[in-house]
Amino acid sequence: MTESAGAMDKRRERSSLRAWLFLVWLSWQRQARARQMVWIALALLAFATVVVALNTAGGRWTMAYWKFFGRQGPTHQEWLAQSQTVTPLLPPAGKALASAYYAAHSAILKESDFLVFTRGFVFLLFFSFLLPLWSLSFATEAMGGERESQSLIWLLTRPLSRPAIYLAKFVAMLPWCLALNVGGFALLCSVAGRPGPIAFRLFWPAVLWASLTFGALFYLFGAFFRRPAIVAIVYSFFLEVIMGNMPGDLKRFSVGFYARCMMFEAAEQHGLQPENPVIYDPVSGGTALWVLLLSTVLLLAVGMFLFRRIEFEVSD
Amino acid sequence: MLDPGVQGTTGQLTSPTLAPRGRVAAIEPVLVFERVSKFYGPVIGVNQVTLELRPGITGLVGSNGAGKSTLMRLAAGQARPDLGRVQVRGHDARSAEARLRVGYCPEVDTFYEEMSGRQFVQTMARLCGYRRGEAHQRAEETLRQVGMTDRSDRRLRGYSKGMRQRIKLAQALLHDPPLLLLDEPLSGIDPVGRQEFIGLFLELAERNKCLLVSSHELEELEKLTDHVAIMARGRIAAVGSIAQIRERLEDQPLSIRIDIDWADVPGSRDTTRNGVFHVEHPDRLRRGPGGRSVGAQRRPPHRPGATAASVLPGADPTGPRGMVRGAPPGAAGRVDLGGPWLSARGCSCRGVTCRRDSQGEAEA
Amino acid sequence: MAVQLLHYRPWRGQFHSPAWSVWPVARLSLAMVFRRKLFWVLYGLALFIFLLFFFGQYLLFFAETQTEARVNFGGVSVPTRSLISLFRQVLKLNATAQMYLNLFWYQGYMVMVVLALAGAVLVGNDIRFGSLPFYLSKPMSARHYLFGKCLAIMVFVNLMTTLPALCLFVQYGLLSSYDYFTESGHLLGGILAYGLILSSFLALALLSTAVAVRRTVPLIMTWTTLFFFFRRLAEALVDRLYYDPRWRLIDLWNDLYLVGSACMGMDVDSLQRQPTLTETMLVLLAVSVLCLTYLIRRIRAVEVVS
Repeated sequence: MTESAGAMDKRRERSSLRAWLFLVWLSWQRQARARQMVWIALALLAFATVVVALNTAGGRWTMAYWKFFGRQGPTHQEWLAQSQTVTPLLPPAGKALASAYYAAHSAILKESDFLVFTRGFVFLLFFSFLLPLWSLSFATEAMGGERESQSLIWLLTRPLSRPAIYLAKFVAMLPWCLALNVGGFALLCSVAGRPGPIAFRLFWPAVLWASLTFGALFYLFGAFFRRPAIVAIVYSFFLEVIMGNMPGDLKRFSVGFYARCMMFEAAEQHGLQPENPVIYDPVSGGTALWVLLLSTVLLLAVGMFLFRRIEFEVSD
Repeated sequence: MLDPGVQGTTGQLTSPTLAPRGRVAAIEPVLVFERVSKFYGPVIGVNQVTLELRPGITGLVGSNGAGKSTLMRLAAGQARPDLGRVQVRGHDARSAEARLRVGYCPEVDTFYEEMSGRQFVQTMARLCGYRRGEAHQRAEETLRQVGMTDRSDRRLRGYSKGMRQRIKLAQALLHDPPLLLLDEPLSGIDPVGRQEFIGLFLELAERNKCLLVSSHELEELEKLTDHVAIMARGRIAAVGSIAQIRERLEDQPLSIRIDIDWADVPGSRDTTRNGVFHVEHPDRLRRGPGGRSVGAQRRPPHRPGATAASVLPGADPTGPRGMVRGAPPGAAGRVDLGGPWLSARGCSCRGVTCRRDSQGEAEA
Repeated sequence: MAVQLLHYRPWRGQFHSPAWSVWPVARLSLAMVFRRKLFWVLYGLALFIFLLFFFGQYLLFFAETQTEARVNFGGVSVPTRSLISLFRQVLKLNATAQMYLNLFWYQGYMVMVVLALAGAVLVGNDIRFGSLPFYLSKPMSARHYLFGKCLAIMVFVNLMTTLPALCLFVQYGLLSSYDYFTESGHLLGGILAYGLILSSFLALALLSTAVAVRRTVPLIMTWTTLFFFFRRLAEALVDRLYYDPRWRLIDLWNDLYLVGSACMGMDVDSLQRQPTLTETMLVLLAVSVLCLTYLIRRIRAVEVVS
């Protein structure tokens, strides 16, 4: 009888770890229930994939379409074609020289796909827009959504410590953030033809770490601002752009700067470098990785500490 | 218990219903407020409140903005006191240990709307750290207690106000906490439901739970408990049995309502006429033994058409303090004078009716 | 007697036409956004760009009034001609159409952010938190409600674009001579016309987006996609991958810029790697018609429900 009562007591025991794990699961599910947001994110991914695929099909990841003299003259492709028509008129020595030049030029154009894809898509669209947007939408919604719908109170009245609640929701947000950023990047690279797999192999660590740091930062915004998504877009599309392109050390406060440094180092052998290395003054890939890693941990720790103290009004 | 007239800034609440006076000190308090103040910018939400709650039901009454919900939020650990400390069974109210001992039924009326009532309560149970089976069992038990067993499979977004209140109460009872903080649990509930809830609260109190129940209405709490605290402007303004408090309130009407029907007043089309009547704060009203009013009538009649003079006859005209000017034809309004002693006099026109405002508007 | 007790008395005045409700709706909307600190922070950030132009013009005049070949500028000796050249030629702080167009262009980033906030607060909240019935219970229709909201959005846009441009116009006139006001009347007209077109188009676009997507985060995702993603995509397609310049038509802000340039008397069709003015106007018109059609359908839906 006593044994049975003891077993009953044990069964009735509550566990904080179990509660925490359930909160992670619940939060993950609730992110999935933000259907409109998920659909918009997926639609954006689908659209970007179609754009990349169409460019791949059209063979546009090449400098062949670039204008030869500045932006006024013929394209490289046209120039090569035109030049080859006059080759037979050249003397034999000139023919040999010209053939060597054309071969080299063609080889360069063929190899240029990686740089064109990286600069024209990865940097300009993925890193500057898609990655921050996907990160900010899921990260700000994780806590901001609960605040906006005034349902945060139900979590805060449970017997879980506040830092644990903060951490649980962050952990629940990560799969979404990483799936879209790293998974989305993989998908985009997979339809990009030859340069795609190279870009993915070289850049996935930068994408991963940038996602984590952006996620931690925007999640912090979500916990502390009533309109976190607005603050996050100000940061992503205004401050990051301004800070990331400044000379001097101001750019070192930009998350994107470190991610780009990792990418520049990873693709150095492919000729990728900042447009103005002296002004850009990149740090080494290792340093950038450590900065991103420590920033993520620091942002999380700060968030957990502050979340313990913050009060949420009913109107929140 | 302190007399409301002399307590100053500290309200002390130490005598719950079920604890006989002689044994109060022997029972460990469940909830302790020690000189707690809470500010919202320049506004003080709770002002130097000291109280101890032991098992039993305590009613908390006060007008809107009196500080009831802030007091509840402080007790539930949802707000941090700027001064003083709040403890639940010896644990800081903000800690997870304290929340394990508190069931909080908040004022907010939003849930995870896509869930059914049953799913919501089960989810809350899982978030307490119970295994799935145990959580289901507890959810069913509390749903039965609040009378929602057969109505809880619908989505929450389709629930009526009363059903929402029941679900809120169910989630508060889930982990069988010794302290229940119920912020206006009876609002929006139909009369039958109220009776059920009152029965449930009394049953919980008999099981040695400590309940703090807030409400706007004294009558509502009268059915539930004999022990009431009145909050006004962030303070515990009065504590005691309802009969004691009522007696004091009747002596101290706080606001009067004045309706003017200008149609009955000769020459009333002249809307610029000021000083048609005025209302005074006779601060220096003569007091009889025990601080009672000599002049003011204790229970004003609730009949339309009575003049101000007939409502409060013989009030001491110690000089005008407040005045209603140039009311337009057909105007009606409420003049809240805010002080403890009131009279209206000197009506220079006919057709002025003066009624005491509803009790719910009165402040202590 | 019972009626007297309820204090009921009939309304003795006369109602105005429902069109009068448009401004109160707009005024209330403006107040709702103005009381948010975040709005003022964003407006402050937007003012940085304006202040750059404002003090730039001042410094230009300062340099032009120097008689010395070199001026001391922040403790550093700078050739006066270089300074003037920097302000006039490089930064274009010369009160020409280009300067005003630059201001409108650079303000675009913050305008988009502020409008994202305004969309979430003004329309999204009304629908999500049930304020819409309060409006519609008044003697007005959903059409007037939407007009009011449109008006409020137009005010925001003009506060951040047209108003600063007008300030610069006045500043230049006061710094140079009053002749500037008479000689540059076309610029004043251009600024006002550009402001009107810009604000009307953005109001329509934002209102349609906010009505379709009510929650803050999805609204921001959609809005930023329309005005940031498509801008970058256009840049990638035209400037990096050398597609036809018509692909720039997907950049709505650029389209508005071209129309604004035309308003200020510039020859848009001579611009390099830009679509023609006709194409641009067709795109803007098509988007406006789409937005209007969508809004009208939504208004009808509201009326059926109510």
